[in-house]
Amino acid sequence: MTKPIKKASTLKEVYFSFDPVRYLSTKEELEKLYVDRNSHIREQVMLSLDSDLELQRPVHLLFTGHRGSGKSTEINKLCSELDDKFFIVKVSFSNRPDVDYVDVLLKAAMALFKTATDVDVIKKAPAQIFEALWDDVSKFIETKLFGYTISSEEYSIMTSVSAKVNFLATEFEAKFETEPQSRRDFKAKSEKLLAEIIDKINLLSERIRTNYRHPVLFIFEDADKIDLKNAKEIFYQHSNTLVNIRASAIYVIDISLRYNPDFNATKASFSEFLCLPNIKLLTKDNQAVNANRALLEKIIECRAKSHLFADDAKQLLITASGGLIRSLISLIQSAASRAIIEKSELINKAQVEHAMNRQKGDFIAMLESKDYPLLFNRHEDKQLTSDNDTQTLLQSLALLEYENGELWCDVHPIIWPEVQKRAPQVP
Amino acid sequence: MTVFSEQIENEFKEMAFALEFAERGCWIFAVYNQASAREQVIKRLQSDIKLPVFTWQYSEDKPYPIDYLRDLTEEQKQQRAVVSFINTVDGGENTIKSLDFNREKFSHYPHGLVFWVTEHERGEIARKAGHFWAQRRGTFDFSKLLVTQPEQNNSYGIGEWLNNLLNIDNYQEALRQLDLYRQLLSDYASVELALPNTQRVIAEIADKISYLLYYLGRYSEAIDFCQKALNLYRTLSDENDYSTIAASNNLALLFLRSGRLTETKALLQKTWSFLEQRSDYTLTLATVLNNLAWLYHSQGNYAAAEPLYQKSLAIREKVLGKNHPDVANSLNNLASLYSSQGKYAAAEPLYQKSLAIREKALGKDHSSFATSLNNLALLYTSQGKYAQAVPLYQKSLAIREKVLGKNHPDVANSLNNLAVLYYELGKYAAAEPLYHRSLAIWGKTLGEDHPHTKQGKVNYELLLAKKTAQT
Repeated sequence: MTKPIKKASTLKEVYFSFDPVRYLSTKEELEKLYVDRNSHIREQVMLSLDSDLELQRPVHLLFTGHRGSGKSTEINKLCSELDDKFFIVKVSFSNRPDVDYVDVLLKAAMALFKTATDVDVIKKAPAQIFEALWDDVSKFIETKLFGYTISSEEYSIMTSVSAKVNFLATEFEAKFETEPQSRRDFKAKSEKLLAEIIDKINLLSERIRTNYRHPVLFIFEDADKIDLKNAKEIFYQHSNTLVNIRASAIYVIDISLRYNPDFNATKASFSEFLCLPNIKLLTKDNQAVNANRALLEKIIECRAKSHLFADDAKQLLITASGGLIRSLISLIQSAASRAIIEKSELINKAQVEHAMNRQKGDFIAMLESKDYPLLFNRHEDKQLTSDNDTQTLLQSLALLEYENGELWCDVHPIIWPEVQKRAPQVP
Repeated sequence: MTVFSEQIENEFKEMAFALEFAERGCWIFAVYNQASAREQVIKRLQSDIKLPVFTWQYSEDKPYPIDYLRDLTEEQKQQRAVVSFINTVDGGENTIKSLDFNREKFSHYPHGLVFWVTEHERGEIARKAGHFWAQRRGTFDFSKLLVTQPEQNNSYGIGEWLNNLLNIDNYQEALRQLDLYRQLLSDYASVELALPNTQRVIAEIADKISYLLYYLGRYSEAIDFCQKALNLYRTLSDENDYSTIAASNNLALLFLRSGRLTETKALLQKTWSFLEQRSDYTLTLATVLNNLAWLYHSQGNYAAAEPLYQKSLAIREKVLGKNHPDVANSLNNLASLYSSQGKYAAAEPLYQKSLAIREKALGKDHSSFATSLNNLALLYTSQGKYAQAVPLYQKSLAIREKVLGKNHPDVANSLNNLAVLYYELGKYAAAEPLYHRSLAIWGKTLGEDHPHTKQGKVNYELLLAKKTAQT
């Protein structure tokens, strides 16, 4: 049992509740801590998905945003809202150097098999209707994918076919992930069986739609963590294969995929492409956006009692975050740990500055001297370009992207003083 | 217990806090620029936090830290612990990438993880393993931690013999010979009718000039001449000729002294793999092994360094006898390795033995004897025996000034070490002029970007901060 969420009332609790690596996932977290950022992105997704609900036309969506912009939380919130309309199947990837589109389809298939044969799900289903289908699926996995008879005792005494499917899918995934030789074998076989795998997915999705009255929705929740080289291969070369799945799907992809001529073809294959913008604290012409500052303040206030922050410290935290949620959270954690060491009762401005310096050090270590003039120029003209240097800076978050009607960018506030110091000296 | 400056102390406390309350899948980065400084912090961690601290070090045969994690998890099932990763990035590009690919596994690991990285490695990871980097819980900076390093003895040519052959025991003599050989070189270069032997003679002269410049601490000039000699040897005979091997070892050593470690490693490994197949070059092999060990040592890769030092020592003892200066070199280097690891009890007798051999074989007015004194003093300093250390440093400094000249990088080392000692003793006024001198020498001879110069500046800043705090 996890403890019910309470607002942090000590600095130590602040340290624990502002954790840059975790995102909101449980129902309670999403209810108590989620702050609506008015991005309308969830509304857009739902509108697209209406096509599936009302016209039985599945949609394939690409969803992206900067590292640390709050993608995962946004996706989880979305799932919690769609839970009563869709049969949600979450697919996640282990990161490895050889992930390709075959992995994507296999993972999707296994996740679907497993979710649909989950004991709780099966209880609600009119079992007989699926019986024949499960029989077919279990034969398919055993004879075609494995290519040998499973000899486990546990398996041989199973009477329910759905339990068998669940067992097989779990077994398959385990072997696929941990045994390099099995992985190679399975992949070689699967490549030849892709059409059949897609058929199984489609057939099962169709049955689920008719029998549960919920269409299947795949969430590829961490496709953005796939190595960029592989991700390019998957989404630039094989998007046509992916959209053959006749069930709706949301792919969370790395934002850098967008900046490539090849992406236009990809975009055309998918129903929609959505990008979660960073929260801008200033407009392109440097006017403060107070509503957005208030939004970040609300994120802090949801999680911690306000007496733990000096006013100027809180304002500085917000400014220094550049509107990037993860920056905000990690600055707070870092300032809290400093405050604890210094035995203060609340987080003061100097401690925030210390946290900023710590992050600045990380940026300095990452940036090369050629980057500074470039950053300086981007701050001046706010222009986004697709050249490599600019893209690398976006990826490292030294450059942050914003939008209001048009896309523009600015330097991360943490590194800006350093850019001013260094840039003019480099021709 | 090691006492840190206030800034380092706070940094340390924050790191300890993060580790003590580390939840599943919590990793942090700690930045260092001297291996011995890193050891100090790890030692403090061991004594300060109430968790066991384990250390994992990269090596070629177990390239992925994650494999080690599995072992530890099995052994330490119920226990929470902290694991320090050392030289993880040393394996290069693949190891960095593997951090990213194994991120999932790391994030399920129940213990707190510290990745020790240099400033440069931190940037590499941030750029090349972005996802892994993004999941860190903070970066803690110990790059300004004040530590001095014991000095190792390099072996030039096939050891000290060259030193005696050229009969250099002081700075003036070295300068005189340098002039002589330079003149000789220009004479030969202007000979129009090149005799078959001329090129070889030129190579040998360039080789000697390179050594003299090396003795004088003018490393970048020495590199030019050494490269010249090496190129000539290569055209005159094949890669595996003795002169070629000796010159390439010398070049490696000069690179090492200049902080160009990648080039050093490449050269030495190439030579090593050739020498291992030959039985007629054992002493040269001992030298190359010694230098390679020194390289690993300076990178903090102690596990790799020790067997190489041992092997080099064994060869020298067998071929040269137990009282040869080269044996003293090996003893000194092995002792300095132990000292870097904090194994003071193992280090001291080796230093003493090395000192005794040198005194007998080379006399008291010799740079190697000065090195022994310096290292012993450093050992005493590390153990807090300041009173014993002061006279040794002073004596070592005096010898060096006499035989190496007043502007030699080793003189700067002595000045710096003595200043650090005064700093520890709170004699700030006495330390300051010594820092001034050592920084000036280093800046001029090694350049502003050399690790010694940088560390010297950090030391000096620490002193200034103390002085300001006092007033």
